[in-house]
Amino acid sequence: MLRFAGGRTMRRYSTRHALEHLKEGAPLKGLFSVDGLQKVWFDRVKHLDMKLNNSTDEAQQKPLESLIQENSKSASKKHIVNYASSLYNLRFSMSSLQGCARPPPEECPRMGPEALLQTPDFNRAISNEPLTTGNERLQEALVSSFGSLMEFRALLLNSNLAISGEGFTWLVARRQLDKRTNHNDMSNGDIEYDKLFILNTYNAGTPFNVSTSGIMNELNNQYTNLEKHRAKEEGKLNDAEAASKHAKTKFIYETQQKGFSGKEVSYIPLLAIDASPKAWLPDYGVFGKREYLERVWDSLEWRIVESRLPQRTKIQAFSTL
Amino acid sequence: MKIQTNAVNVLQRTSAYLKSGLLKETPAWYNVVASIPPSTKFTREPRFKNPSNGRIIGKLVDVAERQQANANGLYKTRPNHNDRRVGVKKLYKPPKLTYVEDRLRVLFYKQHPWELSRPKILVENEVGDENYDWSHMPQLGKSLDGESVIQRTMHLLKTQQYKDMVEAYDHARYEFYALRMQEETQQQVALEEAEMFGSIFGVSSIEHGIQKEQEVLDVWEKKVIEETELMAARSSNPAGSWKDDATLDTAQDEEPATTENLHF
Amino acid sequence: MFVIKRGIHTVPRLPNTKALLQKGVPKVLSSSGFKVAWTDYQQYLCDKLTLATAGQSLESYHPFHILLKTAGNPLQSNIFNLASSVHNNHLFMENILPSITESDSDSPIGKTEPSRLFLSRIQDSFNGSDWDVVKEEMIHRSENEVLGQGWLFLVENSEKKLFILTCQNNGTPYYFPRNQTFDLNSAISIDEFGTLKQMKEMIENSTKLNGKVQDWTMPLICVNLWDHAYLHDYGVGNRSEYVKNVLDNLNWSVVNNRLFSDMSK
Repeated sequence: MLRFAGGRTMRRYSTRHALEHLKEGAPLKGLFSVDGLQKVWFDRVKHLDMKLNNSTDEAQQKPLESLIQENSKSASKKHIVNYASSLYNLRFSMSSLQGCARPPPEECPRMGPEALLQTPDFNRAISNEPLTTGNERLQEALVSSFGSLMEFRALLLNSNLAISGEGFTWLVARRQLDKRTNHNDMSNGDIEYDKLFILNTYNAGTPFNVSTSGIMNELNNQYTNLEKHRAKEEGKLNDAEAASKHAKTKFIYETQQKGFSGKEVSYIPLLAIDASPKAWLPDYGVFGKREYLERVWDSLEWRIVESRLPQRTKIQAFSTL
Repeated sequence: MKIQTNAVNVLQRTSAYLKSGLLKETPAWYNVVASIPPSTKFTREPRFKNPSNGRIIGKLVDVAERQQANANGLYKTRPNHNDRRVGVKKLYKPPKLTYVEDRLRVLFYKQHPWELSRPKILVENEVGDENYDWSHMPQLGKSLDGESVIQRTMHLLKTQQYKDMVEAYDHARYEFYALRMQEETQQQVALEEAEMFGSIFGVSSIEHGIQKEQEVLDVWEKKVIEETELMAARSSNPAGSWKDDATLDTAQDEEPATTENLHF
Repeated sequence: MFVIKRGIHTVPRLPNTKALLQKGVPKVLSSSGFKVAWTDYQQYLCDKLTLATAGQSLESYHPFHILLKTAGNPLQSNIFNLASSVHNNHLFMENILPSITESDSDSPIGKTEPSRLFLSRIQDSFNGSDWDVVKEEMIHRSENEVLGQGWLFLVENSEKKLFILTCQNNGTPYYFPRNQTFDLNSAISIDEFGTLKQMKEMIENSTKLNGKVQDWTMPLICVNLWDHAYLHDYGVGNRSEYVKNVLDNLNWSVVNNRLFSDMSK
């Protein structure tokens, strides 16, 4: 009597965002079933692409990154950024998932409430290490930033598991640009990083903080000006007090963004893991997020992650903060 | 002194009183005591084994055992001081109960002293006993703490997954760490998430402390500027009288000290 | 063996559970969709809440009290999230379950209708718009404002005005600093920033001496916008269709009861 499955409108799967290793009608080995992959990837890309096209005319010409960067400070263009960023994040996370040798999820019994009581495994011999796939440079970088691969894995998977709604967990490389040496770096053309971090973004948040840095400060300035204006109209202005209050909040916002080092910090994403229920509900059920994450770990293609890893900065002093 | 048996006869006596009409109403405890009567056995029995670990506490030496000829073929007929001393004292004392779990508990809390600082609820909410299945560490209705580690260790030993206790304990300990890490990340991420979705929280106690400190510092800042200016003015004016200066200084030194005290 | 413990949260029993598991919620959720949205998800939340509160002073409270108690403490956000969604999901299920008579007869006669009081209150609060217009607005707001997971509410405030409220993730309608209406992950407008800042100041100034912040908002209609509720039956990108189905098939006897009706006091 109900057309639950048939009610969907047909949408074109935009080839612009297509990934080679994902094919409609085929599963992602050991991670997503045919139906799961349809929901995780194809349906979402179609939906987001359609929404993006509806919200801006430029969607077809410009790459997603520039759409995000150009519009990220404008509240009225929020939707463009949201859809572009969601698409970018989703594509980024799927690009390094290549499947694994585990039995297909649809053939394994669904996890029940007992999954919540399972003890997390802490096997000291972990599967799918970057070292075993010949990515020594990445392994070394991970070990020097996180202590050991075990710690890295625990932090990465726990951070993702803890996201209750929609979001992504990223592995990012931090790049600090001293304003004085900035120009030298650019002329070399080399991108260098000093440390790797794990970072969560929620909903359509993006790891590119460059685009949004200073936005809170700007809003605060605008807001205080508005307040001042309003107070002037009402005729009760206590300029000195307002100014000192403003200066304080301004200082707080600025330090929050720049840190105390005064360097310009940006992050280069290396790896993303999708935490959205859309990714794990269809194949793993309500209790299966942990199982999904373990399989994601096994499905990671370290070669791709390493190809995104820039050179490490030689000067290590004072950069541990 | 004669063994006092009056107390345990309370039921019989009360029954007699009730029958004779000396007592009109049945006391509230009457049926309870009737169903669980007090023990009338007053002889203490020696306990040779510690019931908690089965270790032998001591034994009564039979006289026959002493009847042995020594090297000269003579029998000892008069027991000396040592022989006469019967080591039965401890046989009648309640033995000290020792459990392996206790040693593990001591070890765990020695290694993780901060685990003791976690609040523990002492009110017993449970109806029924605590029969947890320790094939997994997290338990519905029990918080994760040192006891979880100990019970899990015991489970691992009982189910023969480990022969060595230290290995079993280490296994349980790592599981505990993994769960604690998960818990902590969950807390942090939930907070971050809440803030990113526009939750507003009041000032934390640290922020409150900083605010209060700042209030005092603001007053102090003004005063310091004033005084520095004053000092600068004075040093650039050597013509002033030395004596006046000195009295002024002490007066000023004392005044801010008291106001500052007031602030704190 | 079944041990009764006050510290363990259990999934509330719904009327007609058997029929629901067989047929689902007519016109809204299929039977397996209902299983995901209620049986599994509520079990998941209850178990997680039990795990998070066991052995603490919170363990013998109801989820509603837990959410109010933890709302102000940033370090208890995790517990708040669980308690809030346990409560919200129950509210949601209550107002979409068919009323008993309806499921028995399966005829349109048993279908519940919004009360006259509700309709007049809607007109008062939304500048004379009728329920169908408000419904459209609710669908629009949910599509526009909640990008990821969340909740859609029609609430009644202390002045007995009705308004639409969207919550991101696990926000609660009961306490405005935790409504979680704004998504700071994307750009926010100056008005939204101002609202946030005013809220912050209000909270900072609220002490025991000045009087605590009070919020007497009550939810009337609750719609679950989490993937758990609609993904199984409606698929990606069809959430608005689902929201429309929910709002078209509400159990009005429940919603009418939630509305403040005693005008004499």
